[in-house]
Amino acid sequence: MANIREQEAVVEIRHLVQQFGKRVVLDDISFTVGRGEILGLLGPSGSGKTTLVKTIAAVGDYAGGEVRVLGRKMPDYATISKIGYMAQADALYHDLTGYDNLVFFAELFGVPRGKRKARIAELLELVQLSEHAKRLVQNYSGGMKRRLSLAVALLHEPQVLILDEPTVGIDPVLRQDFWREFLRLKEQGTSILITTHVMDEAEHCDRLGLIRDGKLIALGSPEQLKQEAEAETIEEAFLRFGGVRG
Amino acid sequence: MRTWALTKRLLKQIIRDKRSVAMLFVAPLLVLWLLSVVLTTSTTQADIDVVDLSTPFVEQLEKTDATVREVSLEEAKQDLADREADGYLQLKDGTLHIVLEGSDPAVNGAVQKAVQEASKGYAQEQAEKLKNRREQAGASSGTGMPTGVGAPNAPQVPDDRLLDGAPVSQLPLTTEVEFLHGGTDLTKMDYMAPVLIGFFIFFFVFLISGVSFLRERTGGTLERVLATPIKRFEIVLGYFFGFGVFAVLQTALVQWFTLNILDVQSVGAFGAVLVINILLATVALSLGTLLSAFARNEFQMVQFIPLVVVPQIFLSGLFDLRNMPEWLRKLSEILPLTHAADALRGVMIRGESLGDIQVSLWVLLGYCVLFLTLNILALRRYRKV
Repeated sequence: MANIREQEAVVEIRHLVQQFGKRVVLDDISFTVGRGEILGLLGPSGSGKTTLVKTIAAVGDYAGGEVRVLGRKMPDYATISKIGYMAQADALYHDLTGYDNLVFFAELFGVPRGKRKARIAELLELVQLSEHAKRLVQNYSGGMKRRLSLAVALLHEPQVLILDEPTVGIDPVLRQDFWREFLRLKEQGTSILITTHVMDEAEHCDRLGLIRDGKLIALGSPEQLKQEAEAETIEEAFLRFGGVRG
Repeated sequence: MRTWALTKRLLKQIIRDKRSVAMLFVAPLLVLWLLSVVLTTSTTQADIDVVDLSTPFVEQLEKTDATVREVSLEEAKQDLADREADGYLQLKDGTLHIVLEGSDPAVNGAVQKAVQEASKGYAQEQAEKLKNRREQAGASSGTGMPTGVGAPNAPQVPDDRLLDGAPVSQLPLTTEVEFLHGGTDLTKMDYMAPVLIGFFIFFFVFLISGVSFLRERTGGTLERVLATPIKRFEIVLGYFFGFGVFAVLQTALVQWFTLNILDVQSVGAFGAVLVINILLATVALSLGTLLSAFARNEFQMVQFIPLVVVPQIFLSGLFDLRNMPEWLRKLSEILPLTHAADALRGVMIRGESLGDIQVSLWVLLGYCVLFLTLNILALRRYRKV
């Protein structure tokens, strides 16, 4: 909490409203993510987390309010290349190899030709897919696809990382490795916005936002939230904030 | 640059997908070959112009299925060039001349059939008259002359002429057929092949590019790609070039197969035919990717076939539209496949150059640009910038 400086907000969201037809999906949401901060968004499925992160990643429009990333109002074309986005569904080409997928996205992100090979090798090593790089993605397990998706999001060394449930279907050992990498990126100054509904991951975040029915019902560090709710665990706190007696 | 990345990726994907490659390259050949085997002729009504023929013969001609118009020689020639008429009849040096437009063997046949029927009817009528006259003459003189009664080569009766200078004795008429285009060896397949080549290229390119772009949407990869700094037009162009490569290869193969293996007649240049087909393929490509925006899955994409593709084949000139309702003909005139079919027929059967068919080429190009632009706009749904 101490290392968050409001003036260095990398992601700023003010009074964001999102509607699909008449259904309000996001209702007056405001928060910021500072430089080198990991902000976790916690909430049940269908609460609007994915809609929120898509808006920040420029692939979603919004009905009201304002979303700013690195000082630019989104959606903004120039800012897109500074954001790394890992979607909830694995958006990979199943009929290509893992390596070809990375090459394609590296070209789209404009990773310089000279650096491309080294960068891809580095990421394959990081997500432990080096020996499976030449296999078709359709033969990958669910966890392997998640790992490849993460590698895609990291390819261009983005300043802002938006991760939509990155650890679903990943074994505990690899999940630890993922988090070690997230913390390392944080140290380098990368801002990370991560959604999850796994409560034990929440403890790793600098701050947590609790989302329910499209509303941000609480925001603060894990300790703060637990104190405010007079709860032992984040899960309990979440239930209290949601108006359910724990 | 990013367009090229997308193009490269598509090429890799298509080459890996053996079945789609087979569908692009083998299926059209198989179907065209089958069609060339089974094609049979259908009955057609002819539009015939007559130049200075005697009234009794014209009356006989009007008794047939044909539509008959009496015009001057200049008008007849003009009608033929404009394809208003299928052929004209004229008396030249004592023989009846039929000049045919010649592109459609079924129509050629219909004209000749009508003329034959009329000649036969006319001969019988004349013979009947002759017989009556003789009987009248014989009754008055009392001497029955033994003649081949009813035979067409009965003795000449000066007043009973088919036309100026054509004596009844020459019946049944000897006819000579001339073709403005084509010839007697033009088969139904030769007539239909230009349309069919166009159709198969349109169909397969439309389906494969549409389904592929749809998969990009439904698989979430389109959204993922839009979360990278690629411009919307770069996506559309990447698809355009990626499938364009295969469309060109497919077009060249289908065309070569039709002309050389199926021996379909073409008097036009191979290059000119290729230009038309490639232009048509680009229309199919841009339309397929555009329409995939309105389909939620592959099944819904296939539902566009009876809606978008099949009507075009019926209205593109494969079947004779001259007796169809006005609105249907108007509709056919705005369809891209109609323009491609007209252009292909112009080049392959009538030997026209690209300059002669440039209106059709511009229309196709216009459609292509229109669909590409709409597709770029349709992508705004995913990302506004």
